[in-house]
Amino acid sequence: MLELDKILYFVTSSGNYQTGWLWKGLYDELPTFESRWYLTVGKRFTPSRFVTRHGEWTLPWPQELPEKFKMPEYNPNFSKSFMQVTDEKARRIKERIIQGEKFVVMYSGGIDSTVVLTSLIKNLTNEELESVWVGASVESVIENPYFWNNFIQGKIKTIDSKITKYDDLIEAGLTPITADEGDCIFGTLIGLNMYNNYDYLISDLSEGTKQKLSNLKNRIGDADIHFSTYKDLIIKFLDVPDEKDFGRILYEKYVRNIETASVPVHSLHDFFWWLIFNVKYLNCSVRGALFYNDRVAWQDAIMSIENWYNDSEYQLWSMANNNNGQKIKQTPLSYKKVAKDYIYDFDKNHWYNNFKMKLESMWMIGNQQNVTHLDIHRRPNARIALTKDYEMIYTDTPGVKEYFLHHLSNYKINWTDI
Amino acid sequence: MTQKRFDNHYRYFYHDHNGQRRRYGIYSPGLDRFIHIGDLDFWISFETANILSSKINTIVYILPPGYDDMTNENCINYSLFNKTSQKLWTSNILVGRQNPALKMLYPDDIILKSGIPVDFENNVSILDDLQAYTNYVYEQSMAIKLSDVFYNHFNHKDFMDNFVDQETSKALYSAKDWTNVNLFQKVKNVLYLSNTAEEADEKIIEIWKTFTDDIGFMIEGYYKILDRPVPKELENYVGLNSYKNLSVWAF
Repeated sequence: MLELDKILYFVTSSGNYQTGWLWKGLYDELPTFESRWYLTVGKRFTPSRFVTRHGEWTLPWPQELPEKFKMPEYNPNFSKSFMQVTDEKARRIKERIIQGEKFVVMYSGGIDSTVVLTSLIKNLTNEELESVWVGASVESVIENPYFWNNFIQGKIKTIDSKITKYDDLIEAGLTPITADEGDCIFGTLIGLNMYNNYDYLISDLSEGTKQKLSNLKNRIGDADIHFSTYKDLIIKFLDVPDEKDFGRILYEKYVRNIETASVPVHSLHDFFWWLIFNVKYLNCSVRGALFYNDRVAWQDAIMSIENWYNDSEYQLWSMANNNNGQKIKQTPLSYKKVAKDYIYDFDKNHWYNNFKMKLESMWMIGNQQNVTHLDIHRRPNARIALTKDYEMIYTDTPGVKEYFLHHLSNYKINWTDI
Repeated sequence: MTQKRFDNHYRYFYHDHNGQRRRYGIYSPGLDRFIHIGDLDFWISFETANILSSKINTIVYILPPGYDDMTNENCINYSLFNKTSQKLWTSNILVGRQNPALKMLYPDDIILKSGIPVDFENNVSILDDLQAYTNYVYEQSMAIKLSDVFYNHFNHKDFMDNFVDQETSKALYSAKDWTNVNLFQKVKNVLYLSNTAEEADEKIIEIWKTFTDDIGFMIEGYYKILDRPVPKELENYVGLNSYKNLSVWAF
């Protein structure tokens, strides 16, 4: 039973109603733009799973953040390099291996998980690497065949990650390592998609704005060009057709959050980085445990999965290294530059270093998992919320409709004029 | 009649609505530039893009009518104006996947001259190397396909795999191609994993040299298609001397 005063850790709402009939029914029932507004966020970002870690950010329902994912305090003097932070992280895993722990690196072949594997190969002895498995799928090979051929195949034991979920690994006594928060450290796909369409998006802004912004295309990571300079472009990018003023209201919400936080956010890339480092962070942290696991208790899964980048050192590095060319330079291709350089320093693959793009690998695994053994109402797309007591809320949980109807009806847009 | 958006009738894959021969562009979403323009066949461009995917993710586009000024020599300066609707399932092509897809650009899609990608303005040789390898793979892909259909006359393995039911294929598993070891798949793998044309050339020669069957005519044909002399290392493998085991009646 979901009582009205229940505090939630996590909610997934979907504008295209992937999570079943529930959100569609609620959207149709809610009487005002204001009460429907949060569900409209899910139309723009599907699924919508925004929870703030810092700064002001109102949600329709009572919300708290699990301790494990709280943001460390910003330290402008943090001076460790990405390489130092990464090698030290690997050495902490090494200590745990010496104590007898066994790990599975969930490896997509993408930049974040290749950093993880690179650092382990660099810092572990061959004997210690015996305690490491690589969870990979055919997509992992396609995404980085060079690394597969030279450093994994025949050298490290592998597990097919497409048919082995987190519960299988945890029950086998293995600790899964996920690189899922990699984007949170460097920025977000949302930003990349905007930068990639910059010319098109500015083309029908007012002549003056277009003139101004056309010269700023390659300065997305320049601290001297404040993100508000791009306000019209961001609003246009955030907008949802037939939802008047939606983009502006969402932009103002982000701005309010930034202004009430104590972490500096200057450039356009900072703006998008902050969204994922702050309000989308929890999603990246727990989605594996909640949606790629059927048997292990939710709390146990969340606590036992090793979130590689959910580490105070990485987060401190991330807050102290904006606009210096390490996260991004001028274009999407330079995204995660420092991570690609870390890999190159080890594997010397100049093609990967020059041309590897961040890809969306999540859907290839998550959306292709076998769920036919589960009751249709207990499958991942019926899991819509997690309470503070780690109770999963499904679309058919008693009281669920009343809960969301009540809280959405009372939601107030109080950060800007509507 | 002008081709409408999303009208993907097969007639539009080789000719546009004006009856003009279409061209095919290999486009890099990361660079936001075309890295190759071909006018032979989109299957060859697509094969090239698949082989290149070990190094760069690309999309093969059937180019819209016009844009005759864009050539294989200058295409690195040309980008796509509107990528918002260019998707692979729900993902934008920018972040969609590593291996390529074939997609259509329609008459109202716009290609822009945008100049050298800013990431490489001060290091254009990296792009030169990329395009040199792309051109090389494109030629090799053409030679592989043509050699296979011209000279690999008894490629029954391929036939079994593609046209015969799986049960029969399993029961009669000894079906093979003339090269016995799936030679052309090996050559493609070399192209996929090599870093330079020189490295690939050397490895391809080694593949040819491993054959025990008399396929000298295939080696000769392969290099003829490429319009290149048979490498010195393979001279003893071609010509009449090489047909040591093959019955004359085969010709």
